[in-house]
Amino acid sequence: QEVVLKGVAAFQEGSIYAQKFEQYIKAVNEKGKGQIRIQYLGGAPKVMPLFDVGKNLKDGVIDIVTTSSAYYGNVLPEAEAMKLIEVPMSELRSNGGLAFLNKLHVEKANTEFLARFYNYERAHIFLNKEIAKPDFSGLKIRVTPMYRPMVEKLGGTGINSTPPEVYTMLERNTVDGYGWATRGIFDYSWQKVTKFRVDPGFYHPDITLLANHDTWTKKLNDAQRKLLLDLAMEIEASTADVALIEAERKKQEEAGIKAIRFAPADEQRYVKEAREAGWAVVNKISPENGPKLRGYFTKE
Amino acid sequence: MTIALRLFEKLIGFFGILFGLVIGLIIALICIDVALRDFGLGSLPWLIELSEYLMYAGTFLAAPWVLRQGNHVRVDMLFVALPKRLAVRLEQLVDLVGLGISLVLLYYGSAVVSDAWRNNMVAYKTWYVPEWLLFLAIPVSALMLAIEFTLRFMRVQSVVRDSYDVTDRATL
Amino acid sequence: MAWPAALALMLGLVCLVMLIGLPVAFAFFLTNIVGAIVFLGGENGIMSFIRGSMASIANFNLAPVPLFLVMGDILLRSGMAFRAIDAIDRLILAVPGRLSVVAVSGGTIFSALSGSTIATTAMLGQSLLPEMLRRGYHPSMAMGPIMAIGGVDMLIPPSALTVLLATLASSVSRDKVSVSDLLIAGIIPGLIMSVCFLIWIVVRCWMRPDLAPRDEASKAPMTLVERWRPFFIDVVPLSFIFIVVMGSMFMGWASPTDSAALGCLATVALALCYRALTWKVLFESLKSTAAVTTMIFFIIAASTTFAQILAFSGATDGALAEIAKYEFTPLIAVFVMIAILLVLGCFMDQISMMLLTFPFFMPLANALNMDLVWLGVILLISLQIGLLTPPFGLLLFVMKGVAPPEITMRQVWAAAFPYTVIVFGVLMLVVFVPSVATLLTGAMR
Ligand code: NA
Ligand code: NA
Repeated sequence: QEVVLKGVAAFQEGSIYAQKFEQYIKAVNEKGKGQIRIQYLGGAPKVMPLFDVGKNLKDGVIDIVTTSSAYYGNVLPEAEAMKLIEVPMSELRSNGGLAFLNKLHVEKANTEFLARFYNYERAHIFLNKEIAKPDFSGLKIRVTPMYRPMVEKLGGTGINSTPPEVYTMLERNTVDGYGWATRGIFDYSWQKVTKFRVDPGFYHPDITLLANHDTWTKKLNDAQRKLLLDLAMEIEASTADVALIEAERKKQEEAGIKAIRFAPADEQRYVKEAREAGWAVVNKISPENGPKLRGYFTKE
Repeated sequence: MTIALRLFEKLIGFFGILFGLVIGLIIALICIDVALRDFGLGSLPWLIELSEYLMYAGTFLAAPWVLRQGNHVRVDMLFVALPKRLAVRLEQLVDLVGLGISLVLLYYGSAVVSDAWRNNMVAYKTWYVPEWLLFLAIPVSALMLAIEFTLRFMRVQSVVRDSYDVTDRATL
Repeated sequence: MAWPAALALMLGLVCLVMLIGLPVAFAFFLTNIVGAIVFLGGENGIMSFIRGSMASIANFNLAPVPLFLVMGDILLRSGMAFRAIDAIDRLILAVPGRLSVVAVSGGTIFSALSGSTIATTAMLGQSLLPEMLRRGYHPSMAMGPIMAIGGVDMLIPPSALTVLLATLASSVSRDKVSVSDLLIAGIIPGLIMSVCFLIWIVVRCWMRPDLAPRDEASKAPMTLVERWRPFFIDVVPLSFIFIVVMGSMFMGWASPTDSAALGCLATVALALCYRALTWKVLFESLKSTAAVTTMIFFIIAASTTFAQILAFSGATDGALAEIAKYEFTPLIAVFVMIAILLVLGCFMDQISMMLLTFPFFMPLANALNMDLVWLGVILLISLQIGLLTPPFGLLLFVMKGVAPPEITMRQVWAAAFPYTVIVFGVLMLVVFVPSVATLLTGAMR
């Protein structure tokens, strides 16, 4: 008979980063009619606190979620490394990296890694002051934990604040900039108070599809698992985002946000410093698995 | 027994005063942070995280003290409307329900703590904080609340014969 | 479980246990336990909701609440507030209902310094009420204006309730409600309200002189200097606090939270200048702030999770889909919201009301593309009316607490009534003339 899975997004319903999950649910419920259905309960924090999504998935309170590794470090510390995946997902699936990553997910978080939904996002620093070199000395930059190590490594001051306060802080120059993904600044109207975007982007912010391991292995049969995986792979393999991100960069340009480009050597150093800052944190969290993951995730 | 009660009263009062001092500390730190930032001397990156944990832990740990003072808001319509003898019984019922809730929070709050301990769960923002330590405030608070609800239940019983004034335990 | 049943179970249970007199926070906790078992799946569900209680108050957006409370408390306990009222008392001459006018004008000034309606009402109640009653003011003319001013305090920044409203609304809304915008938006409606109170007092006392005996004859005549000196010494410097709070926010030194902390610092500094600050004053202020903060945050800890379980159960979406069928216009939707808040306001505290209703109100407002600053002010005033309506009204209780024992609860209710009607009038003004609320925020951009 029909199996019903409880689904939750770590992002607000209808927002950019919940959309693919919502589209996925629609596809599953159409194709799986009669055998499987995902009951979409909504997004965080409407149905549960953001940082509890991972734990609730682990405990089986919910069955299937879309979230980012930034939000479930409490159940899987190594998730910290996932923004540092630089090889394409297809390669990660063939080089044994995904198998290793999934093993960590199963053992520590009782979670099955199904697919990565967003593959082309980059992390950026947005600024109100022009800089010529990858040097943030004297700049106050609003950060999340993901951005702090790299901002500080490049000499800047990382400032914490909650997203609702960021607009006012930018408007009144309490901060000189902020770290954010390629897309999403229009959701907060930050384009009105932003002058520059530092290119290139660094890290690959990940948004993934995860399922509870018990649900996956015990509640579902082979056909149901295949259906869920196949539909997820379709989304993972899609390159439609590339055009959308290009359009977003255009839109930012039209809103008056200029791209800052460094000289090629500086550019390389910028990305490298960010990468090293990221891995330093991972290696501190897991001295054992950090280097292994780096072997799978990068081509160095 | 009286010494134990005295000590308990001191303990819950201590947590109340501690929370007050913590609020003073948060104010001071925010002012320092603003000053550092505006003079370009850096900032206190851990300030938000620290304040968040302190506001949460302070609230839970001071809750029994606030209960002792009768300062948790409640609707007292029924108490005022009922004859005194019934009002007293209702008060006892309320205390029993409160005791039950506290015991559930105590039991499952402890389960949350031990679960976080066993799985080495760590909250990471600017600090790595073991989650069991964060959650500890909940069962500790629940234990004190359970004791306080029990004391309230007995206190009401001991004054039934006197003129028990319901309004002295009213809302705010 | 179908959504109507889920909704009935959760709302029914929480209201029932609230009515038998269980403290509000515990009423939510009890309902959460039941809801966790039914909807989140047993023991893991209960543990999940307990973890969630931490997440709901470990939230820096709530930090201004205790900070604004501290400001009001220091002003009250250091005696600075009383001296300011005394100075204003000297300035206001022979008008009908003179002391009531002093209460409203002094209270309005104090509103711009205190973020706590409780502190303001308690302060005016302690400083002016005994004097008014002694001089033979009718209890309604003595207590009414003092309770009414609590509402003005809530609208004029700083205001702890405004911060809570913006924070709680934003957490369930697609479009965010800016704390600083909402703080600014309250100023004009607050001042209008204050002026309406003044007009009512003067007209009423002019028509019925027995309500407020004229007292100027009893006072020795003062020279101009005697009359104005205390104003410049005890009132004008207080504007420093207001300038720090609003200035730091709008000059770009500080976020709303920062400005609240700077406001506390300014209050302490000023109290030091007046030599009115002792360790005891500081200590007692922090202690009483801790008590009120605990009371408020404990409710939020329990009721945020309540709202999440309600959403998890499908009840929220189900009810919203049902409401959407009626195809309300924004105006009708606003009236429905006001009506719900007025009814709930009779029985419930402001925070529980916000947490119960906003998961329904905010998505509806988003769907209808309402101006959230305008809506925020409307919700704020509707919530404020609940402070004055029996049987459960926070300011009624505060007043009863500071009034002489022979004053009955019924007299307190009666005193508040005409002002409740005036507040409702201002509410209607904001509904039909939105620019009253949005004028200042528009000008700020
Ligand atoms: Na105020
Ligand atoms: Na009321």
